Amino acid sequence: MSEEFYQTAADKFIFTVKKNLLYAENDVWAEIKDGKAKIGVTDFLQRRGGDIIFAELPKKGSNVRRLEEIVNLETIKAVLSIESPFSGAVTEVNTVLNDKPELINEEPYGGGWLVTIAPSNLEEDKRQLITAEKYFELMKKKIEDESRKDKE
Amino acid sequence: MNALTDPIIVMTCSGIGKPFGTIAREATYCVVEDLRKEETDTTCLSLLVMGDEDAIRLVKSHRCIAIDGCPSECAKKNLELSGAKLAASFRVVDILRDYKDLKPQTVTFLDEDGRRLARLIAERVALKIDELNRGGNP
Amino acid sequence: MMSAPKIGVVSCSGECCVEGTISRIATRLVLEKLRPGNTVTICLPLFSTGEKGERMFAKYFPTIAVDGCEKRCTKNAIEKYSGKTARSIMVSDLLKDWGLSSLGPRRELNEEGLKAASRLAEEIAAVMDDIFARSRP
Repeated sequence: MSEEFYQTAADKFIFTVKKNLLYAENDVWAEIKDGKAKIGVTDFLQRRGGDIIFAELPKKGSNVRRLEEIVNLETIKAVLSIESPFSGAVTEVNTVLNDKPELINEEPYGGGWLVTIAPSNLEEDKRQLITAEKYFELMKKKIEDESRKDKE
Repeated sequence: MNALTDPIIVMTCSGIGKPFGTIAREATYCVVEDLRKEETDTTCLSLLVMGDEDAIRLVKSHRCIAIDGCPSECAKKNLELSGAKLAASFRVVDILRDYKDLKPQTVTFLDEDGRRLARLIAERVALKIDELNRGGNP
Repeated sequence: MMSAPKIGVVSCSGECCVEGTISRIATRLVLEKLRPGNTVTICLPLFSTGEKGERMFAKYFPTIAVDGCEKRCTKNAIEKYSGKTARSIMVSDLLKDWGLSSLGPRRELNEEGLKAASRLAEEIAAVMDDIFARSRP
């Protein structure tokens, strides 16, 4: 366990959860700063999804509702629809991902961030999120459930 | 080794976990056995990684091209670590973006999309080899 | 975390010779068909470049090195970076013992080559079973 991350190993994979972020149960993280929310996907989601070939990002200025699809990540296996944890307006888009979508795999909590949103219901939407500690426990359970499914 | 005095050494990652690794491997064979048979050669990446003297001597004394499956770039990194003359590098995952209709799924034996993609990559590598042999780049 | 016992199977995937291709395919067959819940394949190039997960797994779990030829790149890499292997298989020796040759080009195995890969996969699976049996209290 490092100072910055909770981590757990399953087989050869090490799954990390960055401390001091908030999390949605659908494997999206949020960093709230100066009234804005930067979001991305968790290490767990990117590892399960595989190498990301395309990231389809929203336009700057577009509006989104909580739990509405905001980003699509295309891997070789599937298209992952990422739901926004906030309602609001998209203020920034990580356009680097157009040329380097692999940043989502390599730095899911850093350079692989997706968009920043100016939330219209910040406090209400924040209440739906969970702490890093709780997400870490949830993630471990998801890993265990998948491992059990593989066994069957 | 073939008869040419300065073959280009094409190295692949052959990553075993993803279709990309198998595609990179097949693309390499396509280059060195079909498309540019007289101008190229290959050797095992594992030999290079383990510091085999012959393998290291080979990559240091000839221009090299890396064909990697994914952004981990194991072939490219190991060539660089060995002090090879890296003339070009390709990643399957990048080239896949140009062919949205291809969805290679299998790892052990390539499916049709995997084979097509391998061939497309090999053709790009072959063009690069021609460019290098005409005197372009290092 | 409760899960099935695991063994890492590391193949050389040597591009130079048909034995490397047989190693690779056999390892994949073990993962996909013979022992799907118990096998973890370690990607040798990733392992060698220092991928943390691959190296940690090989350090704490038993590993089987599957090498195509006497250079034994896989066995040497595991012992260099993680620790002793639980078992080491040299494909060229096995093929000789089995009286097998003419297995196809390195690029694509012929029918004999595919049979050899299947047989090698069975051998790896048997080694895995033996390791599990010995590790039971």
